[in-house]
Amino acid sequence: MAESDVVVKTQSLTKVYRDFWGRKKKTALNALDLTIHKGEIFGLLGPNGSGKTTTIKLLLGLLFPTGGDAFVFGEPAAKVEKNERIGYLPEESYLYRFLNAEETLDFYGRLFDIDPDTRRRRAAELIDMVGLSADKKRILKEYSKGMRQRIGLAQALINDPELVILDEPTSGLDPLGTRWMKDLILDLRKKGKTVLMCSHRLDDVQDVCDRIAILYNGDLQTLGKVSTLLEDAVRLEVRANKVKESPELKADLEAVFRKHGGELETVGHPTTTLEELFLKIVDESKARPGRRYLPPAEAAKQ
Amino acid sequence: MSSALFGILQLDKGEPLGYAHIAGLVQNWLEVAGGFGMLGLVVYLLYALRTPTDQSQSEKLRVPVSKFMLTCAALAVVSYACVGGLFALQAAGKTSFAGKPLAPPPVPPPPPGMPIVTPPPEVRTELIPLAWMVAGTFALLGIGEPFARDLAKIRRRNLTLGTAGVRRFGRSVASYAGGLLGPRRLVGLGAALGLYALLGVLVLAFGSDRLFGIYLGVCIVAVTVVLLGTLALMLFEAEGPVWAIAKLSFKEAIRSQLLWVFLLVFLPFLFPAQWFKVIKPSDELRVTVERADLVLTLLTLIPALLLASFYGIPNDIKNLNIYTVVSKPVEKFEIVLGRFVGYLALMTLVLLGLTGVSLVLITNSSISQRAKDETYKARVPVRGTLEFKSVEAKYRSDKTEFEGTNVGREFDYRKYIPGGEGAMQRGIWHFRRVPAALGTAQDDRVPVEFTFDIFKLTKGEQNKGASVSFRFVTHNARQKQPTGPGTWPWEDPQREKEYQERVKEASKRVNLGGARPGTPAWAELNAIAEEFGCFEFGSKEVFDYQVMGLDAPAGLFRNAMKGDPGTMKDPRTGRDVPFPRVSVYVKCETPGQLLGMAEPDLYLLEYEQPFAVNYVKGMFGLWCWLAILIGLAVAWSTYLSSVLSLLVVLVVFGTGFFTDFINDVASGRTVGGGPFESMSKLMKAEQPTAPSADTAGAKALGAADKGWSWVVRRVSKAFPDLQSFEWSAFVAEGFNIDTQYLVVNLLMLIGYLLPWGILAYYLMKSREVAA
Repeated sequence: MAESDVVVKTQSLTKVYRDFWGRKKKTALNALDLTIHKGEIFGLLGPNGSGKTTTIKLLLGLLFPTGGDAFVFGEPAAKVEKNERIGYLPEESYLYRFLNAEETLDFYGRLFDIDPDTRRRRAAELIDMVGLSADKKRILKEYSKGMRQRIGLAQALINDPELVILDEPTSGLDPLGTRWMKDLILDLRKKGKTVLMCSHRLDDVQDVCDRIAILYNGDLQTLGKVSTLLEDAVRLEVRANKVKESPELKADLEAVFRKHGGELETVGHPTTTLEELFLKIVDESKARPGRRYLPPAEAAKQ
Repeated sequence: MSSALFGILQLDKGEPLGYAHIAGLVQNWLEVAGGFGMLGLVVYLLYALRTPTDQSQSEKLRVPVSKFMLTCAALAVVSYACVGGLFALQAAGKTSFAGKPLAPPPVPPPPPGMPIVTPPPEVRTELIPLAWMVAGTFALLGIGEPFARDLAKIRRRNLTLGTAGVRRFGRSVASYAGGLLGPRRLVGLGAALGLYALLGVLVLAFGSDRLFGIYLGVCIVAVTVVLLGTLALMLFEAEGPVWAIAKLSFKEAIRSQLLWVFLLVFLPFLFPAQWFKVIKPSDELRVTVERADLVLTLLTLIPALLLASFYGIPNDIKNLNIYTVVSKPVEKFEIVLGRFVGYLALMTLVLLGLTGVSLVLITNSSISQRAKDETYKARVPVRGTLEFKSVEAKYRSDKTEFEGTNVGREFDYRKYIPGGEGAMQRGIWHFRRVPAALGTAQDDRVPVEFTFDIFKLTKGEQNKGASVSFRFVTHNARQKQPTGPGTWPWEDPQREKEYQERVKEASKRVNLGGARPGTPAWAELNAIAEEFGCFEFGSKEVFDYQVMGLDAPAGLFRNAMKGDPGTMKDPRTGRDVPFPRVSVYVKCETPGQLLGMAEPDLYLLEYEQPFAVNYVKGMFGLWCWLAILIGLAVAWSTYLSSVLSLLVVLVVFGTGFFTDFINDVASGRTVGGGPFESMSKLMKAEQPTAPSADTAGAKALGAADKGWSWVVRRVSKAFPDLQSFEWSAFVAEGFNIDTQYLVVNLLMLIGYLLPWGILAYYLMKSREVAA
């Protein structure tokens, strides 16, 4: 990849939290070396306290590094001008609760010095996009957590950013909202945006990220493409259609695998994800108003 | 406050600072702010040393140390070393170096019983103040360099001067105004106006004219404030992040409801004071104005403090809203500026509205004619200097010059002259500056006002004042100090004789004693005064602590403008000063009475301004207080939590009310010694005022007190001198607040807030908002 394609770069980025007297409390991030390229969706993974959010805060200049350096679009993280090309959605939607949706987007738009007409147009588009048109005059205090997350995302996109940083983007969202968010992230990639997200909801990351970094206790544990990292090179998966499970089938397969030096582990029907099931049911409910759960016996009668 | 107390205030503080003091103030500021700047510079450079600027470009950008800053720091250190050297020379007994004096001459202590008046600032050219100023300037340049650089950047983003800016502003306003007046808002506005109009009709039909006046006034004030508020919001709409954050603060404060609660609770106290209790007729306006000032002070300062301390930056940090702001292309200091501008704009509007409402209530309330005569005006006085004289010292029994009699009243700065027909004691006011306008005064008369204290040696008659005579003379009719009993003679006896003959001759034609402006007698009096430079007012009955007046002929002042008065030795300082153009000799004619007077008690009235204008001007002082309070709260909230910020601001701002006491402590003038000596006396149960014993322990305590005074002298400048912004006494007593006082107030405000602004800049810049 060309150097011009590098959007985020950290060099031995270290953050040590100290107390009032300068005594070391915790090393939140230890010599992180990371490069994120243009157009990719990059996921930061790790348990609580692993340094994901600290990395993001260092990139945004909300924290100062104890050692090393961070660059965004080739500019040092402390330079505020770089923020013109960044959109940031914090973990919680830390917005002013006495403003309504329109006022919120107008305020953040003004921080980017966007001219009034563009600001209004973009605000209207984004409110529509996040599905809050009906609630745009309500103050944020009256919003549910999911609604606040949506308007938070809208404020992160008000400047049409090249880099979108999302800290726990699906936090507080229902499965529909989660799916919507994931689709939106994928859509951002289609538009050529770079996305850096951190989450501890692994399925979300797996669904959308191109590359991931796993942090543990401030240290980078692994880094690479999702597909590569998840690939199990020892095992082989075979899927077949219109075949019924039977002892004969199992015996035949065992023979085939033995012939090729391996052994059969399991034969069975694959399961779908809970998310898929949920979305399927919601779609059916929308398509058939009045649909309700029936015990298997009653369902069989119908 | 009565006029007597106002006089004491004037005597204590001296005349407020005007244009003539600006250069001295700037020099003083460079010394003081430079000292704090040097301290800041040292701390900053140490911080920069600890920061890994060599390893991280981000940190280098965040904690810049330029060559300019280092050069300024080095020069400041050298200059402060020079100051130290000069002090060492002074300690060694030297008074000059290379032919230049080291330090200003010490201020002579005031006469016993007189207050210690801090001399007004003036430019000092002695070596120590000069070196101090130079050192301070370098320190300020060094510490201010990154601040100035970032401020220039912020200015470019937030203030586009020229046509591009105007066009952009126009577009923003048009866009904002378009969105402002939606159909629902128009209906709401119409309904509110309709209701208010209905109320007006009811007031007109069933209420009094005065009530309708109040109704109309409040209506005008409300419309003005709403229009100004809208204009402010439109202005905030114009450009970059500072205005956006200012608007946010404005909205936050309005929607927080805190302001409305305060307004509702305190507003009733704005009503005229006589609605609540019985007040002496002459004091009605004074008390009403003072009460309004107090209510306005409470109504604006408390919400401003709470808003800036609780709702501003600490709230942003606590609620983590700041994440979404700092992650935008916004300099952290833009947040500080935006908060300051927003809260100040809102509180300015509140102050404006309350000032308008209180003014409407005051002007429409039934105030007695006596109160109106005394205080419903804004006098522009010409003040003089007072001295006491009697027969020459060598002809007096105690062989000393008469300096006024002390009647032993505690806290009384007045000196007294004994009464009696043959009394030779005079209180003499000298006017060195006489405005030319007095010579062309309307109706050929110049009002002279005075307030005297009468100290009775005998019971006398009830409800009867003391008889006082006045002699006005110009430098062309100089008086000679008498050598014995009789009258005060002129220096030129021939001229005195001519004057008396002329008066005698004129008295045959007109009644000079009863001359009133506009009469032939007054014209004659003017002609005599213009020719001879003398005017005598035989007997005026004056009452204790009452503002009284008489008219002097304008001709006298035309005479005063003629010729060069030359110079004389100032008996107080020994310096050459211009000879007074006009002097007023005051004599008490009533035996058994002592007439008390102080310098502010008599003045010439140049002209009068409308009360309302003065009232509004008086509120400028309160606005400055607001700006200081909000500035302090915003500055401290960049680093402290809301509660701590509130406490620190309360201490810093509150101490500003006691600058006189702090100055006394700083100068070691407190009775009973400094804190260490006082503590020792307290523990030993010694008299606080008794001098300490000459022991080694007492000397050590004295040295510790001196060290403490030094610290207090340095630290005391961090507290705002709030009394310099206090104008309510001027308004309540009916004295005009000169525009130059307000200009100096504004400069002092900027001078005070600028170092706090620089501190806030560094605190905010060094703060990890997400830590």
